[in-house]
Amino acid sequence: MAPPPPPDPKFDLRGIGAEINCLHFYCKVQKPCPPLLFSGLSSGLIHVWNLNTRRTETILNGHDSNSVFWIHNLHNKDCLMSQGRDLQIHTWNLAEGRNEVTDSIAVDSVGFCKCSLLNNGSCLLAMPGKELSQVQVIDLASKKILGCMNPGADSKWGMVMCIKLWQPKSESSPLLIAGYEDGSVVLWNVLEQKVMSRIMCHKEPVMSLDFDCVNAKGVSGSSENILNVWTLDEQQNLKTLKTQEIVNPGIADVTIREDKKIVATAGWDTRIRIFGWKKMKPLAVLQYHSASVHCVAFSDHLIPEERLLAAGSKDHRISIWSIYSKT
Amino acid sequence: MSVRSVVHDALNDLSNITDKDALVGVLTNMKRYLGKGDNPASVREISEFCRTHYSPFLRALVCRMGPQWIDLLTSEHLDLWDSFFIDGPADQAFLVLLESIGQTRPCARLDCCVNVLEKFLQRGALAEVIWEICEQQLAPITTPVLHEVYLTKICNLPDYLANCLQKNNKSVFYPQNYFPRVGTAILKVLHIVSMSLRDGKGCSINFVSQLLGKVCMQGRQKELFSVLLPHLTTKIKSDCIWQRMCWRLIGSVPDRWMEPVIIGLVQMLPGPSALSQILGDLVLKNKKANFILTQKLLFLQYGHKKEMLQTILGYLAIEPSCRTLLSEVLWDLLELWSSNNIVKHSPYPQMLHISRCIFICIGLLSKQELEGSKPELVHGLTCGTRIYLESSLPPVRRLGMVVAECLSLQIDNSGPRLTFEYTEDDDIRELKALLNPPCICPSDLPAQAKAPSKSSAVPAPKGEKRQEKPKTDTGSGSELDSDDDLNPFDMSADTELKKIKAPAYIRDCMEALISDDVEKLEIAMTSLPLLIRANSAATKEVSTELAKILLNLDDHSGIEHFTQLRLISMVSVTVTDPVPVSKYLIGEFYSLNYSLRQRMDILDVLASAAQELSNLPPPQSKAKAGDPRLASSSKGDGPVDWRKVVEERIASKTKHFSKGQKQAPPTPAPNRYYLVAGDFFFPLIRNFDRPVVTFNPLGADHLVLGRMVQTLGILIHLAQHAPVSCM
Repeated sequence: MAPPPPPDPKFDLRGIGAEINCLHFYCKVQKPCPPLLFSGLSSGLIHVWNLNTRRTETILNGHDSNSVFWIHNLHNKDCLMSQGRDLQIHTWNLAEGRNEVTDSIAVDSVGFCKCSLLNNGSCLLAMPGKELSQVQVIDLASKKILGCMNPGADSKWGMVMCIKLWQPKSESSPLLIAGYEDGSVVLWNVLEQKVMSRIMCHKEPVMSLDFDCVNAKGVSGSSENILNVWTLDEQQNLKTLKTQEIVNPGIADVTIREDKKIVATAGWDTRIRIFGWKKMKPLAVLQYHSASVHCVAFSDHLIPEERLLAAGSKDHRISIWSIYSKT
Repeated sequence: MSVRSVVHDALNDLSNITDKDALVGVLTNMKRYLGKGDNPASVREISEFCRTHYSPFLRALVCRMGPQWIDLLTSEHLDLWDSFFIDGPADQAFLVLLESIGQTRPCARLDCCVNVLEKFLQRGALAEVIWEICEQQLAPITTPVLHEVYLTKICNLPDYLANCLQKNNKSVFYPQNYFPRVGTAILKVLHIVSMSLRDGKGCSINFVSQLLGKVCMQGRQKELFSVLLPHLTTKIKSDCIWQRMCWRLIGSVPDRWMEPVIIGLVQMLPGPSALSQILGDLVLKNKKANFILTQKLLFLQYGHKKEMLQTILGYLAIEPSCRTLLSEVLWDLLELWSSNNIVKHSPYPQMLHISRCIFICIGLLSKQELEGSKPELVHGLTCGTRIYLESSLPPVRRLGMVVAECLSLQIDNSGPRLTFEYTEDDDIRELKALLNPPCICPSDLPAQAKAPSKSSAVPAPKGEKRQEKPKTDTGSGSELDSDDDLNPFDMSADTELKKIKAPAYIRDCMEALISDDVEKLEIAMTSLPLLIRANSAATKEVSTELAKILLNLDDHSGIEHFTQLRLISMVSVTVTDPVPVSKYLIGEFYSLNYSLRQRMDILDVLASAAQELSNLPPPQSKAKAGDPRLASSSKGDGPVDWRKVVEERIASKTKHFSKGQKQAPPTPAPNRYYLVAGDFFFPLIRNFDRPVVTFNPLGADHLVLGRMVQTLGILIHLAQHAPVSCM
């Protein structure tokens, strides 16, 4: 039997008027509250979409028309963090229709690196530091710097491109995985501030990475036409597991679904690709956008059947897909 | 006696005549020169008279005509006077008559002229006038001003006569009676043209086209086409010459008159197939016609009846080459329909007009074509519907609902669709009826298009599946929980994005090489070696030019492996066409204004090319070597040589630890180098001791000298065994 044709988007969101840089779902809500999708735009606005009515609930404007390139919920749906090109990380209070900035953290880096948030009792935020290759981890409550990871003066790793902060069960210290401009992926121990392992994954800067802490396995994409999958063994060494070739070069974003079953990539070739996470089996190529896709995000619905995939693109549209949700 | 003096005398006589018989005599005598009467003049005389004396003579006749002559000639001989106008060259007579009528006040003379003109038209002499001008247009020296005068006179005749005759106008000259005559005349001319085309003569129907255009411009399409079209359509069906003539006739209507002609045709013709017969693929060839048919009538004017729209769009659907135009029209229509402006600022009839066009288009397009227009449909639906629903006018809202329902149905036939509640009125019912086209027969065309695509799509997935199966088997053995529970979707659409196509011809490649576009350049560089080898004949035509471009190509764009690619291409050119290219390259080697790098490149190219030329020509010898085994094993049907079979079996089961002896020694063959070795070697060694301003091999540039000596060595080495005479 021939494989079925790829699905069409479930719906799309338009009228945004700017490129969509980042997307974030908040769907872990009980019934009367609508599931939300946050989108950060190149115009500096943050749209809050109600996924039931498919319209914007609120539009947040706090980055002085500077591009917003990372957004994440902090504790609940009413507390949002956003990182903008104005070198500020804002914390928003959205409760009861408010939209006010309650807190701002200044970032020293002008790079491309998105922040990474870890919520294990205390909230830790990893963000690019002052130096080119530096990453800082701060405790959000106290604003104290827990670790400042600097590869040393003589290393030539280039700018830090993407980071992922996570807490392994066995260790006390959170670990940080960072992709650098020279194409390497590095595992840092945050508290000891030392490099635990480093592998060269790509020949080009690492554009995006995601890490599955359950299976200790991660994936990274660059401007090349490969996806690199690497694992972390018991000795905390990074090892390349597989390189998956894709047809057209350029991965803007890669993300693993919460159930660790599938991976989605946002391609410069306007296509969204879906792979099985276990063996990186190519599953689907979703074509909808007319310009390069900047970001992909999976929703965190409590009911698996309702799970969605969202992709934001340079063509000013967000496409919403329902794919492999019934498993 | 010359014609001139005869005419002179006759005119003199006519001015003094007072006698009936003398007058009739003179006139009868002059009739000789029109080729009539008992004793006609010679052909040469007739033609001279017609060419130079006919018009003045007619004018004189008109001047003399008066009560006196009418008395003299009486009614029976008045025909004699008339016949001069009827029997002579029609074009001149026509002009003289109109001129005289314009200059004469009401009197007997005017009556005579009008009567003659009436007879003239009734006789169908208009066709002769038109044909005469058509013939004149083929002459080496044309008189466009005069033709323009004729055009104006013919077209304005009803108005002109109405002005001159005021209340005494005759019904023949009424436009409703006159223009059908013009139509008949045009048909007659076309008939003559078709006859002479059949005889192999050249003809021009530009004047007829102009006439057609001008008459239509005056708004007389109905009168003209009611006569013209029925005949034309029947003729076209049976005769390909008429078909070609008709296309030419419409196609050469001047742009300024194209619109009324096309509007007239669209209004008067019964349906799209008739229009398609008359127009052919005019919409593709003629920009003006294209604009009128695909833009003006659909987008800018909205007073037209729905039958007219059906005719236009149906025409686009019938012509196989125009179907892309139809899709484009639909996209434009959707874009217009869904724009804010139209809802805000246009009247309801215009919105209804656009909706009608959209419905007709959708009804005409095939499923596949609609599938291709899906993004536009979605865009139109999502952007437009809201605007219509927000309108405060109920008819506008209703229109939006109907179109949105229709669009949503087209986008996803099986899935959920929009439904609105509204009361149907006549407009709506009529709109919905438009979805089912009444008379379109392009069904055979899309069916053909569908068939191959299906057949080609089916086998491909099968092949993929076969490939996949073993993979999954091995996979399940090593890891039980794999991704197999997730069934992949069809990924055949996931192809490499290429912004620019690789050039298919060497000349295109050369153009790309000298362009500034980096991507073009890169693709051209990579595809060039293959192209050169594939089309050696085409390469030979441009070999030195190509070598020149390649030699002077700079790596300013940072293409990967630029130098290798360039070297490979240059070597390919040199191998394909060794003599002229090597001559050119060596000439450049010793000329001014090259860098050392370029000179060294030339040496590299020469050495590599010589190397390749001296290799054995590979393809034929290989095939021969492989042949015997293949042949013996495939000989299944014939009588089997058992010894051979046994030997073969032994051979297949024997393990060979060294394969060195098994290989047959290479068959000797003359290489291609020995023929051109001299062209490579001697010119290169010739000039090394003659320094030029920028290149002195024996002085500062000894680096190149070293390389040159090495290259010469290579050339000599490769020319081993070549007969000296060839060197």
